[in-house]
Amino acid sequence: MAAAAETVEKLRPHERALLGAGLVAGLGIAVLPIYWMLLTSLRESASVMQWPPRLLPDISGFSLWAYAEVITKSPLASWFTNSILIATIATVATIFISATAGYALSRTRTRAGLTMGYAILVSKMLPATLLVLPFYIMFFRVGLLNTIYAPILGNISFTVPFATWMMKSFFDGIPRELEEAAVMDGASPFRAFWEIILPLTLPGLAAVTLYSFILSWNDYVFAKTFLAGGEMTTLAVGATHFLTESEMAWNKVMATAAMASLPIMVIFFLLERYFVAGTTQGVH
Amino acid sequence: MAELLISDVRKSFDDKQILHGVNISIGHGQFVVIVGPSGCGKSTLLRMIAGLETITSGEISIGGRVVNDVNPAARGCAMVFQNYALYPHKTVAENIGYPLKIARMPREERDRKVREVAAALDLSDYLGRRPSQLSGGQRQRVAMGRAIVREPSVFLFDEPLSNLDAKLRVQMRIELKKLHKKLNATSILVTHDQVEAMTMADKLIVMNKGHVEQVGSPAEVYRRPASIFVAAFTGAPAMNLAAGTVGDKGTVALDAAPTMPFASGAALGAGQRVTVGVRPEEIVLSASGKGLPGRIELIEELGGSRIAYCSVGSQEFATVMPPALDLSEGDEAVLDLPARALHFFDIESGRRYDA
Repeated sequence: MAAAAETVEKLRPHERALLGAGLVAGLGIAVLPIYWMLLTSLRESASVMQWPPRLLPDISGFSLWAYAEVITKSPLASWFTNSILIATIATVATIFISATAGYALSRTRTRAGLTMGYAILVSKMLPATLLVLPFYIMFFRVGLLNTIYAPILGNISFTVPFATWMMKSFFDGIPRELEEAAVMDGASPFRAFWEIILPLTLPGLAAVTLYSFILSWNDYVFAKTFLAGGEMTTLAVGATHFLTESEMAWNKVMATAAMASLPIMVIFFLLERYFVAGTTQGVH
Repeated sequence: MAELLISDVRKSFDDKQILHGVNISIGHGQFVVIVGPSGCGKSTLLRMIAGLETITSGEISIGGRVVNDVNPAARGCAMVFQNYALYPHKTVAENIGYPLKIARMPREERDRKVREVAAALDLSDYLGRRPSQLSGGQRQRVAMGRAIVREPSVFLFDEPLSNLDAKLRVQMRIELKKLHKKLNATSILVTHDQVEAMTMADKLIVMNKGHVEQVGSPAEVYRRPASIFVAAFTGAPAMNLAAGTVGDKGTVALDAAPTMPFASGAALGAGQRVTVGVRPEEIVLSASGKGLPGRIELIEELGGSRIAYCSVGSQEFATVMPPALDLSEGDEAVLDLPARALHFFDIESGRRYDA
């Protein structure tokens, strides 16, 4: 980090200006949708569809009407509960599967093991739209349609491959001698994994948690397809219920979206410390 | 009592054979050093004793019990790893106490033993620290503490000193040896460093390419190397080796100086091709006199002594310069190779001829 700062110090003024401009542009692209979401959610219905759109906020025209409408007149609580359950269960399952599978993958020396690892990775390359139909048929046959388990399983199938490889790279960074030492000390292989190896991958577990929670929380395709709608859906899909033939209530959509962002932000701030360490692992 | 018996032990990974039938017997309380270049199979052998590698064929027994299928913890061995393998998220006390915790020793007794071991290893002030806050030497001692606390019958050391700087290595070498005397347990240490091997071993095992080349006390191995490999591996500088031919009347002539035969002191058949070996300190170097004529190419000053590298024809000899000899680089000199100091090896197989 310090070395990087020094590199920037050494740049000439116009090079630094260029870097700064790039940073501002990047920030703009990242922040603009959030800004627009908050702005729209605070506007009256009349000014939402205004043309040309007004980019600057007019504080006098702000109202919490859209929030009040969404909270009192829609099944927001039910959507919230569904989203929380789906994202939490999918994340817990992803952590468990990816930690154990990633460990196995990291420690295997056999060709069969590695082949399985690549098969997992290849499955990640299939788009959700391709998987949704076979999933639908399977879930229909076993009676999982219109239960939260259907989108949970769909999300897990999506998060596990990447999470497994992410965990594998973390386990790769832990010397085998550590578990050998634990085994010599009398620990069973499982105990060595649980007490010695797993605690050392906390940054990895944090990264997997964040990745899988956000992906499941934001899922639209699986929830839209497997759940009936109305009360029985998630926040991501529920928000679109305000876009109907008679009304395009973008302020309500954005109010729902703003409230839906809160849990993600809370989790991110809780895990941020580990997450940064996790994603830059091996850089330093 | 923990004598260790290794009989005809072999190891292969896939199709590649790493150990080709190793036979070693180690008595109780011995300090055994297995030495050899990297890839000779010494670490694999140690890991097989520990139970971290399976045994392809053969038998290992500890204290009279065959342990081929006994799990590592139940073999009564403790191991110190090259990179120490300390648990980074545990404190020094937790690291040392971990084997006791697994053995479900009551907390009070465990704490007492950890404190005892820490005191013996000068670690009492660091019990609350994590490995990352310790120096290399301290980490090394924690690793030893974790081994000692289990009171094992066999200690296994896998290149335990190779991560330390030169000064600390000498110091730890002495500490390790003292510790061994105090604990009176069987110890097996693996190293590629022949000085470490010579200084520490009661019994030295020299390995090469998956075979045991020689077993013996350091002095035996040094004085009567069983093969060219052992001769070249031990001593610093290593034994001088030169190709030659045996003449009649008990003489031998080097290829580098064919017209200057000298007494071989060995009963070898005339005309036989041999490799002649002689330790640097055995060569008598002088300004004039009897011996092979040579030239001093380079002098290494070691403080207490000087090593002169001399060329005789195309052959180079390392010699220890007598303190009084006033010669410098580029000077002509004479090298006398005394018959009693000569070693003869088969030029093909590399095995020693016993005269």
